[in-house]
Amino acid sequence: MSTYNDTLLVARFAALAPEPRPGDWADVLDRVGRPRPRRSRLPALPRRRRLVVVLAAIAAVAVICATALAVRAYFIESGFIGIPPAGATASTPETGRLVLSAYGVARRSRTQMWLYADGRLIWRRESPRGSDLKSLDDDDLRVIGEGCLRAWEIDRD
Amino acid sequence: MSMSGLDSELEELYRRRQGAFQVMLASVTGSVESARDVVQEAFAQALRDQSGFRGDGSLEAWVWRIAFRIAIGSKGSHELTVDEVPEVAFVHEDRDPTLAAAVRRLPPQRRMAVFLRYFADLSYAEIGNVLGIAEGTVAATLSQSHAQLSAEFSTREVIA
Repeated sequence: MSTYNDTLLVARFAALAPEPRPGDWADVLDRVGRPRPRRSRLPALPRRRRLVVVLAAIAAVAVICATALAVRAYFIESGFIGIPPAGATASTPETGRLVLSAYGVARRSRTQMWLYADGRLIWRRESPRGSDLKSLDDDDLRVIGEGCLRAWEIDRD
Repeated sequence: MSMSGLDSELEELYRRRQGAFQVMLASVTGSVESARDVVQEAFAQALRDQSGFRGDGSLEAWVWRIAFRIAIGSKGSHELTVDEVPEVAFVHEDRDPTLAAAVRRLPPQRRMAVFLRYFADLSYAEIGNVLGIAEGTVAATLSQSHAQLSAEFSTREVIA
């Protein structure tokens, strides 16, 4: 038979071949009464791929830790709307007599300021990235507050 | 060869060739489901009786002989004798009735050789190992089979 006919027979037999069912070596072992091989829950990876997975896990942990530290340094410890800095004490009294309030836009940021009779100054600045709110009530702020008051009065005049 | 070495070779052979075993043996048993059962039992017997493999032929040919003996229900030794060559037939004859009819008219040993060649994808030497005949005899048997099939196809084509 020519090669052509041989090739043709291969193709015709292939078309007649039934579809085999999946076979499991563990079923053969069952018939012999041997224990099935224990399967790992995780698929076995080549050594190089295992190294890549470990390095990726280490990198992920490093990124998570750095992110947590950055959040703590830039937001929690430095103050953020609704979250006072670590160790901050609430100002007293909670309410006071408002002496001065101002509102304006400076450097494309809306800014509000409230000055109370006891020297407390609350300063709020909104920027495209959000807003910050600082409430200061120490002695230095009192000086600043008086300065602000004077400056405002000068502007008024 | 050590027992554990033969174990792993049998496992590798099963993983690589169990599909071909099923396709071929379905031609003997009549269905893929029963063929799958025969294949598993053949490999199980091979695992149990590793001393039966003398190493004078290929491991695959030895397992084929075990599988055929199981498929035809023979209780004898693992060797197939000439008069024990199983009858083979297509499971899905309707897919190619012309080829099915032509193959059905081949004598049993030629038909078996054709099936081992085209369904089991065995070499002439492996077919010789399975059937217990010389490689040259396999070549001659297949050549005669090809000639007969060619004549059958030509006649059919002329009639058609």
